[in-house]
Amino acid sequence: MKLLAGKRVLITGGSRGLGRELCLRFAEHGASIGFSYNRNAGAARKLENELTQLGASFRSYQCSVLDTDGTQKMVKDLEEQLGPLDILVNNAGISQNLPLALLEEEDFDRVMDTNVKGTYLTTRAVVRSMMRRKSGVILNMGSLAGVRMIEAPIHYCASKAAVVGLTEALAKELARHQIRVLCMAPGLLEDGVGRNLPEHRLKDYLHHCALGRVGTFREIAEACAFLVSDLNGYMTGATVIADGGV
Amino acid sequence: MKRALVIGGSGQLGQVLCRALHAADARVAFTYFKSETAARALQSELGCDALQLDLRELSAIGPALLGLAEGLGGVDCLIHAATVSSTLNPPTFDRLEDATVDGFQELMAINVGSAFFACQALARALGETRGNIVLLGSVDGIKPVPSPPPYAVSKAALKGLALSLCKALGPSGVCVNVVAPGVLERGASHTLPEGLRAEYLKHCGLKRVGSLEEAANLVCWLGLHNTYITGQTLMVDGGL
Amino acid sequence: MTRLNLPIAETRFNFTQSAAGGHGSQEIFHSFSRGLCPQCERPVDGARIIREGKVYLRKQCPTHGQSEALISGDVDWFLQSLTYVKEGSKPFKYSTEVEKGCPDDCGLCPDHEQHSCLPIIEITNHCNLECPICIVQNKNNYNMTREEFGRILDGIIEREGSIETINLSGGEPTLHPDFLAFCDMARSRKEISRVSISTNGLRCATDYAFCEAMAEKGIYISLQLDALSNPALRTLRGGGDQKAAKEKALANLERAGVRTTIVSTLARGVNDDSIGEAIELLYSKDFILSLTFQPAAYTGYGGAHFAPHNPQDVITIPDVVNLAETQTGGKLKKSDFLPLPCSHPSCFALTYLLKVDDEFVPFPRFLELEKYLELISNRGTIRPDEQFEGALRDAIDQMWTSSGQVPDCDRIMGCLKRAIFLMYPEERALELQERLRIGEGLVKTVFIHAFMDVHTFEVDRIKKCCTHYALPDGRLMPGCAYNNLYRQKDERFAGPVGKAQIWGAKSEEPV
Repeated sequence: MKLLAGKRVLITGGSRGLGRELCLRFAEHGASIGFSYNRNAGAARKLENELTQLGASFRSYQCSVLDTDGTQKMVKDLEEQLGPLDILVNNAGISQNLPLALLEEEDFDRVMDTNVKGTYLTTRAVVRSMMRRKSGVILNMGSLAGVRMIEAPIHYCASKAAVVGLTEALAKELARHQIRVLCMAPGLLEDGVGRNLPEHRLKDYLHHCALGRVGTFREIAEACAFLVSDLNGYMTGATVIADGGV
Repeated sequence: MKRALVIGGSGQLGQVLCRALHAADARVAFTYFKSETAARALQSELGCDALQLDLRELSAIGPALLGLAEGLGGVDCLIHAATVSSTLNPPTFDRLEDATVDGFQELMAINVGSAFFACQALARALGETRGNIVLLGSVDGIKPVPSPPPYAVSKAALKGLALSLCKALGPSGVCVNVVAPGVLERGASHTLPEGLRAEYLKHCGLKRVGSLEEAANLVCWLGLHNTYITGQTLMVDGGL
Repeated sequence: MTRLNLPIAETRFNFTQSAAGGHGSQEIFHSFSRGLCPQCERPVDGARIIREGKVYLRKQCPTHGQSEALISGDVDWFLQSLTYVKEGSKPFKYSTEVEKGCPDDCGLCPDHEQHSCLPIIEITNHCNLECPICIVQNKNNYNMTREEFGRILDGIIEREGSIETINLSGGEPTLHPDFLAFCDMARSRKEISRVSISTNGLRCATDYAFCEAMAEKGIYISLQLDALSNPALRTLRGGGDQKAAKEKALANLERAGVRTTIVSTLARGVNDDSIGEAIELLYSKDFILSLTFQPAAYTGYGGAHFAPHNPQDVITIPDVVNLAETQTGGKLKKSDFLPLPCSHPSCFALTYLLKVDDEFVPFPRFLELEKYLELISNRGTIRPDEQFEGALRDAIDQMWTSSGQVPDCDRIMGCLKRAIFLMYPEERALELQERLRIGEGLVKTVFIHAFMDVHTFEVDRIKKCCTHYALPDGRLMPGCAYNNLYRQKDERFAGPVGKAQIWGAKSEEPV
């Protein structure tokens, strides 16, 4: 079943990892895709080829989520090329593995800027036309680290918790324009942050995870496709945790 | 073809659910109790199995469901949608002082006990298909809102059931979740006083009640497609 | 064949008079011990005696009388080291019963106090050197079969479950005709994390493709390298231009990127001035991960042929530690070294070094002693596991909270942070192997491993031994028990002595 037929989607941080999978699955569900990437042009080209093979219409942009002007230009161009955006996925994010003692101000700022401020800036650039049209869905990428007490770097946890707060407030504020705002909070994913954990921490996660495995990008992307689809029209402000039961 | 077993399929939400599952190419079987006419109509509409089952008789639930599952040739998804909202007859929006002992026990048996023993009976069959369990909760069991206390207690209990069962059944690949709707156009909310309905609409972000389909779609997706969300209670409340 | 008799001449071994017999200085009885008579090699009672800041083992043989050997060159080190003890781990299975009592039931018996940290498999007794210092008397008549080797691997895994490192040795293991196949067999066992080989380096020096194969197979090379100059090398290792061969071996190993350990056997008065240069070599080369000093033990060929040997003036662990401090100008200090608590404290000492910029900072300078001991307990190598992460986090927090008290703490913390970014980059996820490899480049190790000979042998040390020879019959023989008491009886070597193909025997030309 195509959940997103005819939808126009912008996915930030789309070239690698979960972002890439979101682009591919959303395209399979019938959406036109715009994706942004920060540095990895090689990965972006590879994804473009894959999207072409799927027969999807797409546009890609090298644009940091912290580049306000660039983001505005990107959104303008995207809406000219593909049409008005129905769905925004604030996926771009970074993590660092640092204990408090080594976590300096610049590290803190970098993570908070990308994960929180970047979400705010992109949302602001996209939401104006959604408000005009009284329609749209914004999906923010949270993390289990933002909703549960787990051992993870404080700036990462703080940024992902902030995304939850941002989601709830934004949902309230935009609901009267019929714009839904949701947050997907995955646990550890294959090839994601999870592979960059010390082995014993991964083991620990698997031990506490009821399903006993890390999640796949595909199943998270499929869940996201449903969440942002019209079938799910009455859910807003929710943070959906997909962690296999930690 | 996935096989879905719905407990409480003849109610307003139950019917929508069965249709949504059917539309998603699932083979459906359901139980009903009072609404025999509606059940028969749905049965012939979908061409599916239906079984009359008194959910107050907790010891009868297991054998009956195993029989129904056998008729389906296995089960990929168990949905518990049977619910009563009041301890009184005729049903009201119960106040604390109104609740009766018999009514409370009956409500708990139908809303919680039958869900529990349905999960118990079908755990193994669901493990064989790495299937899904979806329970119908309510905003009343999650958020502080004015609600009939027995009903809120029973819906909160389902959250506990999902939290515990996700751990117990996770190793066999079974996911257990609760969908907790806010006020929907029909269904369990029929006893909601007008004043509270207005209050709800005032606080609900989307400024409208939900449709039965909107709740059913999520239940249906969780039942048929979900593979990594488990132990969760998903709110469908328009942003309350 | 009967074993070569050790050339023991009463005069050379300074059989001493009893304490009452008017020894020049005061001496203190420390403790009772049990060792071997250097002449008949029978277990005999003895005592540890402290005299002039050193510790001696004095034994009384009913037949051959009294003998004495130096067992620690520094009484303070000796006494302190005895406080570093830790309960042993048991193997999953024993191979022998307790019948005659230690050390006559080896293999291991239930009386043994430690499992195998480092099983050594001697796959051949052929060698292309006749090192005067060799702890083995190679008979050049045995190559292990594949079947035997497979059985040994099975036996080790059965007894240990999973194991950090196994070592292939000899003889010269690279002479074994099936050597590469043996490497593959060992590497294919997922229970074994690392496979190392102990080699004289001649094949590495002459066969670059071999070095590439070692790199490609992920084999760790323990390269025998006692010194960097010929006179010392000749005294210890025999003829030929050893210096040129070793230099070529190092160059080839570096070029091929083989993870390498330097093993230096130290003999008093021969190469005890080369400790500093060995440490410099460790510091300067990325492909060299660790350095092991082995104070010479006079067993086997070395016991029979090595001339300048006085059991009362040998080099011991604290001597190596003190010389390291002197010869590195304090880059390494005595306080940086600690005994390894899992083995007997008289057998093993070590320090871990963290690479900070272009220097190496010993762990004990920034890690609390207790945490450090926890970290090195029951292991010789560092793994990035929970305990290691915990210790590092404690170290980081401690440095941060006591800012200024740990010298260089800002630099060390900066280095640790860079290490974290290297091992856990934001841009991509690393494979575990890649991360381990980065970790190996950041942490180096200096080990001191003291083997025992007939003079220094003590029963309490052998009971805690964790360096074991793995035999095809399933037995795991504590290293020094095997070297001193069992190897000459090993039936695998019972055939006629073969002819050794000694490198450089025809010509003294460099490779």
